[in-house]
Amino acid sequence: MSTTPASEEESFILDCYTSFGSRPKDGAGLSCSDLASELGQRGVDAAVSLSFQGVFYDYEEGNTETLVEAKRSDGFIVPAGTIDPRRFYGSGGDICYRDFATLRLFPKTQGWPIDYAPFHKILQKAASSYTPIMIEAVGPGKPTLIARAIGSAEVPVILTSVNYSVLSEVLVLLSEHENLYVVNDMLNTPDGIELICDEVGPERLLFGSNYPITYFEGPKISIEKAEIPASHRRKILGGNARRIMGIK
Amino acid sequence: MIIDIHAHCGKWFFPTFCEEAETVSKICDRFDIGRAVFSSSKAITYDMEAGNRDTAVFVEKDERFFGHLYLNPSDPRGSEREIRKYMARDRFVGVKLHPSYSGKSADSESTLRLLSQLPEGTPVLVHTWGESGVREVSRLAREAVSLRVIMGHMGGTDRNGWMAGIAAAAERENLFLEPCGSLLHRDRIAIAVEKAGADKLLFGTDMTLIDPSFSLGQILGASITEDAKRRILETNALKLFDF
Repeated sequence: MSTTPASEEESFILDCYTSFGSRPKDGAGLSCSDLASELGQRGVDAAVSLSFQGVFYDYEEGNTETLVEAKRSDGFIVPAGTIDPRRFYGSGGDICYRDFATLRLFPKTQGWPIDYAPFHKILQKAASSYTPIMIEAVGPGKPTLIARAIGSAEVPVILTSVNYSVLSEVLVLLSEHENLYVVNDMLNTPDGIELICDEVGPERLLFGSNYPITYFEGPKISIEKAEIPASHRRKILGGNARRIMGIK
Repeated sequence: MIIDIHAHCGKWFFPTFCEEAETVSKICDRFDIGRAVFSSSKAITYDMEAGNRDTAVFVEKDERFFGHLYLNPSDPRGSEREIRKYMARDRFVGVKLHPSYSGKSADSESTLRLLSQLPEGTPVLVHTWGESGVREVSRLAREAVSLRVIMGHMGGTDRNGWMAGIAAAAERENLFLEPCGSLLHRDRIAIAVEKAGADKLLFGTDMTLIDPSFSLGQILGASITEDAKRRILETNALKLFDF
């Protein structure tokens, strides 16, 4: 849990969904130092991030790179880890969960199904170490499968890439699972932020831009322009992620 | 002031509650949208005539609101009646086509025949997705030289699609880009300005389907000049739609 005084926490902007490194398919990659510099210029105080190397090539090498870059960034980059369940089977290749603020998983990008034994194994391990999971929830039915896979585990699970096509599904799941959260990177209906705040409370929403894959400004403006109290905005922009991920 | 040339009125299949004109007016206030051109979601997804009727009523609710007449080339006779009914009205300033809902490609014979009845210079906003969509809309622009054809979504969110859209707009004088969408590659606006020119881009949001934040964010966050941003957000639409 954060030990920062409330007054300081109020102005803290934490982008919980960023990445760095190379993206050969679309050229949207960015070095870690450039990422930190560009986000800093945009008023971000810290960013949870990982290397694309862990997503596209090898998660162990990617995680090592993420930790090195985070250390080099003087606290601006908060390291996120990842595991590729296509390679992981439980015995070898495990990671030190406490090194990372969250464990990010990429079923859409890496092309694996939610109903997948290695994924269930990863969930068990993350739950036993209380490491929050961030996972792509792309397409109708996927959030439901993710929620079923979580079962009764009390680990926080943070859904990314939630857009209008899964919004009703996610609202139902948020009301049923208190450990489920949503990043606003693609929460793109005009009243989506207000709707989630009204239905389940602002504590369930986290600001994440998905920069540098997409523009930083869209998700940020959507929070700034939402018709919600300033206290809600502060929670979404940083307070919630800090609480859930234990970021000081 | 911002001009939004790609907006919708009506309901959607997901939980968003922005169908009332008052709610949409508040959204326009929030984003400094001074003019917005709407087509009806009902016209696109279900009933062209009832939807266009809704648009006609909706645009009277706020002086900032204007209409796109939705045409369905699968119903050429009905579409011709709609042209006669609405296109002479001041508040209908353009036409909207959605090939994936109508089932007729943008370059089909029925589409071309229908659009030949439009007044010279009419802006036609076409939902344009993927490289094949870009090819079809490019052919439409080539065949209908008197019209101002706007590629809605600029070819889509896949890089190959929007790169094809940009290349097509750079080639044809009467072909323009409207780049709204969901997952927007962070270089697409800068590349569009570099290759097609800032004068070829028009700002659209896809509200009330999509929050204007995302489209506005890609313009404000793009590595382009302030002058280019102003053209995209306002000046180009003032000229193209004769506002």
